[in-house]
This record gives sequence, C-alpha cells and structure tokens, in this order.
Amino acid sequence: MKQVKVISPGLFTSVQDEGRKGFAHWGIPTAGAMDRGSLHRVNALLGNPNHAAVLETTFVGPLLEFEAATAIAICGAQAMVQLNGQEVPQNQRINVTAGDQVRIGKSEAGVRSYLGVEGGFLTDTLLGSRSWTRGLTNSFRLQKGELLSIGNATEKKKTNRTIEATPLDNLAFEVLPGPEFSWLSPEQQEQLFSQSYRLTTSSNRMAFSFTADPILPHSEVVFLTSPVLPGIVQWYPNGQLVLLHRDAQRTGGYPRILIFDNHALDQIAQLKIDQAFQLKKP
Amino acid sequence: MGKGNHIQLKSLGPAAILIEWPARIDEHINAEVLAVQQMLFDTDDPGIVECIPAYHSLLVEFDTSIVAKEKLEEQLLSMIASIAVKARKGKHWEIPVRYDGEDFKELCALKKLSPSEFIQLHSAPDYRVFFLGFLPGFLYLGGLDARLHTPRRAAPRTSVPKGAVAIGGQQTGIYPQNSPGGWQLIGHTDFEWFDKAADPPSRITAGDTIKFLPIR
Repeated sequence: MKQVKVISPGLFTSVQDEGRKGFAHWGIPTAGAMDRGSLHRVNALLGNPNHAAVLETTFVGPLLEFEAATAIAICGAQAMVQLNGQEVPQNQRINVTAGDQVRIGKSEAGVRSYLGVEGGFLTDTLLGSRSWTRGLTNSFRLQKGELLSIGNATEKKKTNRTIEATPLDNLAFEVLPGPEFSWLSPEQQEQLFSQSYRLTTSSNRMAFSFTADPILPHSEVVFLTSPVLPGIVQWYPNGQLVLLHRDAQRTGGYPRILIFDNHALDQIAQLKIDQAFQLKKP
Repeated sequence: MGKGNHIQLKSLGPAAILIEWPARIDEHINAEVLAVQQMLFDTDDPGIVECIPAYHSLLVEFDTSIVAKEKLEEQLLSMIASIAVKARKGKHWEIPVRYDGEDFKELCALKKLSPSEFIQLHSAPDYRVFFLGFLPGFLYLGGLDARLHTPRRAAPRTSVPKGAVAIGGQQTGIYPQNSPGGWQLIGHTDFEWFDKAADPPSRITAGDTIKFLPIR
C-alpha cells in the first residue's frame, strides 16, 4: 500500500472525513471535517468520493514525505504550500512523485487547511468513519514519524483546473432560532444580534466559546439535559455563549438558543481569534 | 409544526426535528420517548440518520436528499398518536461499587449522613437508564434519592478517572472513561460496559435498570 510519512506533524493535524452517523444515541460525537465545504472541494478535485478521508490542519500545517507517486490538493485556509521547497498553488490538483515533500505553512487567512490525496487516506475505520476523535479513536493528532496509508486513483475524469478558493471573509453568520430562543427577553434578543463577538482561545473541535458582553439570565434557569447537534449555541448561566462544533457531545445541559447551519459551521471553522463577528437576525 | 396532545415537534435546522414531551424526569415520559425511537429504528429507513433520546425529548436527524421534512413530520405525528408503550423487558445490571470517591466524605458531612447511611440511600434503588450521552457510553440514571441530590461542583475537575461513580444535580452516573467532569465523585467501579469496537458499542442501553452493589 502507498504511504505518506509525517516528518513534522504541524500544530494540530488529524485525519477527518464526513464523520460517524447513526451512533449518537450511544454518546458518540459525529466528528468529521469542521469545514465540510473544503473537504468536498478537495475530494472533487481528486476524483474521490465526498467521504474520502483527508488531513485537517490547524494554524500550522505538517511536513509530509510521499513514498509513492500520487496527486494531492489543498483547500481551506490560505497558507504557504511548498512542494520540495517551491511554492505551489492551492485549490488545484498537484502531482507528486516518490520522495517528494509537501509542507503546509502557517495559515495567513483562515485556520484549517484540508489536504487530500488520490484514493483518500486509508487509516483505521471505527464505527463507520476514519475521523480521529479525542477520547474515542486510538489516534487523535498526527505524530512525528507516523506512516499513513493512502489509496489509489479512481477511474473518474481528472481535472487540472483551479477551483474557486474557500471564501474566508465572512464575519456575519446566519443563524436560526433554537428551541429555547423564546427564553430570551426582547432586550436580550436585541443584544444577541447587535453586539460584536470574538472566539476565545479555548475554542476547539468540540466547541467554540464566544466572548462578548454576557447576556445574563434573569433568573435561575432549570434545563434538563436534552439532545443537541453541531450548530447548537448554548446559553450558559454566566451569560456566555458556546457553539457546539463537530466533536461536541450529543446531549447538553444548557438552553439551546440559536442554530448555525452546516454552511455557517464551515465558515466559523475558518475564523481567527482576533476577528470580530456578528450574528445575523433570522 | 404539529402538536399531538402535550407533545410538540420543533425544527432544529433543515435536517433535524425535535420531539418534546413535558419537561420533567419521569419514567413514563421517557418510556414514550424510547418507544418512538424504537418505532423509527423499526422502519429501517436509510434516510433516518440519528435518533437521540434524552429525558423528555427525541432528536431525529435525517438525510434531506432521501427524506422530505413534511413527510417525516406527518410520520412522526402518526407514530406519536399510536404510541403503545410495550413493557419492554430492559436488562437489569448489578454493578459493584467501592464507595471511596474523592468527594464522598464531604458529601456525607454536607448531608449529615453517616457513610453507611449514604451508601444505603445510593445503593437501594433500581435506577432506570434514561439515555446515554455526554461521553461515549455515559449513562444517565434516574431514581436518585432526593436526599442525595447535590449540585455539580463549582469548578469541574480536568480529569475524572474511568469508572468514577458520581452525582450531579438530581442525577447519578458512571464515567465510562477518563474525562473532565463537574459531578461529585462518590465511588468507583471496575465494571465495563462500553467497547467501541463492539456492535452495539454499549452493552447497557436506555430502558435498562441498574443496581449498585457496595463492596469493600
């Protein structure tokens, strides 16, 4: 089987695909690429099925050595991508030969890059998915020296065209009201949609917490643990808001006031900590 | 969205419907939730992606390229109207527990109970497994004696050991793996029920009952 060697793992790199489906009632998170749009772009460029596994990088990408010829593509965050030290473009198919080294540098715009290979990464499958999930799969981040198996080219027609880059400049996210949206008073709803937010440094694959003026509940809220899905925004007793992302638990003990749809989840996965954003009134 | 008696359907985005019963921890309500979940599983519809129960609600996620939302809503309303809660024979589990958790003594003092009184109150009931959530295999158990209800800790621990038996609010549960956690730790068990490589991954399922057996 063809392999890729990890010379340097990058800040936080993991194998991701479309995630696990049908196991949430056992307490198992969905997982999968945080920016699904970029996952699909990469796989489309390589003639892979949508669910083929890719590497998801965070801020600083890895240095990889390809032990056999294949083709790669990188979509998502804008970063310096080098093939044997020479810059190569993103958003298009790039051929590599045995011994070639590919480096994804620091992200300049956006946060997460997606590196796909022809035939996809063929690492272990657990509960229907190759996605690495902390606390569930044996691996959760790429390690130096690791060898990753990859597949072979499919019969699909290949393209060498460059596709449109992932838009990375959205700072106003469309949201829907959550089941407990009406628990907010009109004044609190006004604050929700008029104020500016930033992500905190504790944001990760499970959840993003927003920093802003807290929206304090008027009285002690009694909320029984209820089912949630990625995209739910929880309202904490201290007035903070937390957006559940792909690795989030599937039940939660806080009121669900907003819902980000898949597209908004993709977009916010590319938002940097210093970028102020707003929530669009539905 | 429809109303069937006291049961409501709510939309959770374009590919998810939430079914809500009246909000309380109630065995009969939970039995209805699990009955609808089972009805959905029995349809074997490839368009149904997830059916996640909790105390009094069920989240149904579906594939919009296979299932039309309006059709699914109709189907759910008709299932709700025909809920026949079969006396499903849930499995009964006896789980040995050593009551030596980090917060055990503190809780005894807080409740003004001797250790043996506390142990008696915690180990007497047959707890119903209402649902699994929070972590892979984490069991939400109902039936905790009101005298043992204790709020979660003000500051969660960064690491709770695997097998920790704990109390959080009105609930008691067991941590299936090492994890951060804010519940009060009262004991420990070596009993294992979750195996990610097994099918299904958990031997214990919603609707089962659990009894804790104190051991030294």
